[in-house]
Amino acid sequence: MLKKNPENQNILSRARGGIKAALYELSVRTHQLFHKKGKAAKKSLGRTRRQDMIFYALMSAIPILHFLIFYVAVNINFILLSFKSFSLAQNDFIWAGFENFIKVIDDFKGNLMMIGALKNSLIVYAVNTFVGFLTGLLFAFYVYKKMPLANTFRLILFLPSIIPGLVLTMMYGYFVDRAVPSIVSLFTHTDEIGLLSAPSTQFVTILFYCIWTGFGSSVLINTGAMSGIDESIVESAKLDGAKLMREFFSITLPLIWPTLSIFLTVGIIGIFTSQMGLFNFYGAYAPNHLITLGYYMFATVQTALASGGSQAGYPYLSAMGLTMTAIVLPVTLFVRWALEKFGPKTY
Amino acid sequence: MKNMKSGKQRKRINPFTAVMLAVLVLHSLSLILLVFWGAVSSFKTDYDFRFNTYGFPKEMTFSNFALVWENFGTSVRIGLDLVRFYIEDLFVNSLIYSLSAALVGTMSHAVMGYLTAKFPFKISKVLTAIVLTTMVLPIIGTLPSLLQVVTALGIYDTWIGIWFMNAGFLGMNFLIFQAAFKAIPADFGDAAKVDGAKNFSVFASIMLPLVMKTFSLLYLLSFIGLWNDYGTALIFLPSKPTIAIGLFYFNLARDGVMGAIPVKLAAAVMSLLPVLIIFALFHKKLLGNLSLGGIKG
Repeated sequence: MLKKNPENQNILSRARGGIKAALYELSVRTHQLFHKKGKAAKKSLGRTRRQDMIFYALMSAIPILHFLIFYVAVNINFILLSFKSFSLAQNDFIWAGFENFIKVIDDFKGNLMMIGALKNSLIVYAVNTFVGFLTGLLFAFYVYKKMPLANTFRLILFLPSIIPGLVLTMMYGYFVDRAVPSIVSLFTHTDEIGLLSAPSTQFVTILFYCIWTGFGSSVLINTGAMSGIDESIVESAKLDGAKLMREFFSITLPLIWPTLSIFLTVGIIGIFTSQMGLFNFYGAYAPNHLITLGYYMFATVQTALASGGSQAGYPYLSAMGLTMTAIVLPVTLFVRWALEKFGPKTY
Repeated sequence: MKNMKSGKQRKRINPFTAVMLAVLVLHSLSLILLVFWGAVSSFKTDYDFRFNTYGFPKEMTFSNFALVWENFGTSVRIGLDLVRFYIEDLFVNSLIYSLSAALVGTMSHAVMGYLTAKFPFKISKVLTAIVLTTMVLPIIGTLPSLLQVVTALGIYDTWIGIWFMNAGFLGMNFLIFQAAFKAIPADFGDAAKVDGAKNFSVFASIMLPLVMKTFSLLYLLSFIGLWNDYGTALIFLPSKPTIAIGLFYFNLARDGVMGAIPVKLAAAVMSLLPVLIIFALFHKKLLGNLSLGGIKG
């Protein structure tokens, strides 16, 4: 009916044209819209990224500035300082070439105090690593396995990390120097000398103190690492008949090895930085036969500051530090490589 | 039941357990007895201590504590003047030093841990690599150089200097925070951003509260470490002595009434009290399992 009427056909064709036009309009508008949205989305993404970068830059500004000053600048100055010496005539630092390094090497070859300090430092490191570290590891395993009184021991082992070192040193010092001789005299019926007063027992007494008070943080962190071990592994080993020691060596040790190897690698620096608590015991005036290299460097700076702030000794100390760094860097890298290569592995 | 009993018995007679139990009992007893001996001796007179070094006091006296309260302090040369700092001044300095430096240090590590964990920019990888490298490859003996730099910057012996010195991000705490923030799903922050939150709000209101357990533990450990540390303050903050510095000089005194061992032990006991109170209040938090995966248990 509609087709036959020309007026109607006209309306139909106009309508078709209108729809076509509308559809075309729609497609153009949609294209434009999508095109615009893409741009807006990109713009919005760019804005978010820019905001992220601004936030990042603002928040990290102080820590990065700290790094640039207290690590980069301090270390550059440290290297430069080791090649200088203090001229009293000019009241300033002047270039000295390798003079300080030659003195450091000469001292390590012929100065009895420095040779003794190096020997003491090595002994402290070895004993701390082989006795303190291993014992601490076993203590951590005991706590991790929740054996009798484990939580009580965990608390007590951590106490030396909380109690001020100076307080503990004072109590220990007076106890071994005053109370112990009195107690021993009860049995020997002779007058005994205090353990910190007799030169022959001073070093061992202080070394014992270092190990005795040094378990806290290592037990805490090793227990944390051990508690991360999947319980199902331990259970299946138990079902296979694994005893406690087998579990320790075959499961616990390999699984916490990454944590242990970090500690062992980072700990190497202790050879040259450990003060063995000597500053607590003696201030800046420890007997020469007791000193370690770490103590020597700290006490020298402190003494210089206390007596007016003379910087004359700084270049020598810097050269000594740089020499030690040159020794400890390859040793650290080697130990890290060796621990990764020969340490226990998980399969 | 029988099997369980025999299992328990086997556990009890395990040689490893027995040896470790014995060693740990000895270690713990020696530590407790030492502190107990120190505390008991602080109630003795000097005369009593000379002839009775390990027994209980013949007559309890509190005079050592009174002496410490009146005389504990240290004198510091500031310019041309010799200024005396008494126990309350030292306490205030200790509080300012420990509270503020621990906050700056912990916050700095938390911020950098968050940025490197949640923003995958190239610099995040560089910063993480810097932390790992400086941990494994240490540099020794930089104290003289550090002193020169701090002096050159004009921040030597100032609170701002101490805060700035603690605002670094190197070290183990960075890795702990980074691991803690990585463990939080990204959706948490994204959802807040869709609702219109800015980066700072996401960090301060959502992310930081989620790692508050890690934050508070590291803050507490840092606070205790700074409260007990006298070495840094002795060198970098000489005109603002703390309790720890006061105790250091007190311990070195050899003459007069202050040279008596029971008096020194009384000072040690008094210095111990604030830390013991903190430990009693927060020991559960402090003994939480700290690992590179954050905090457990």
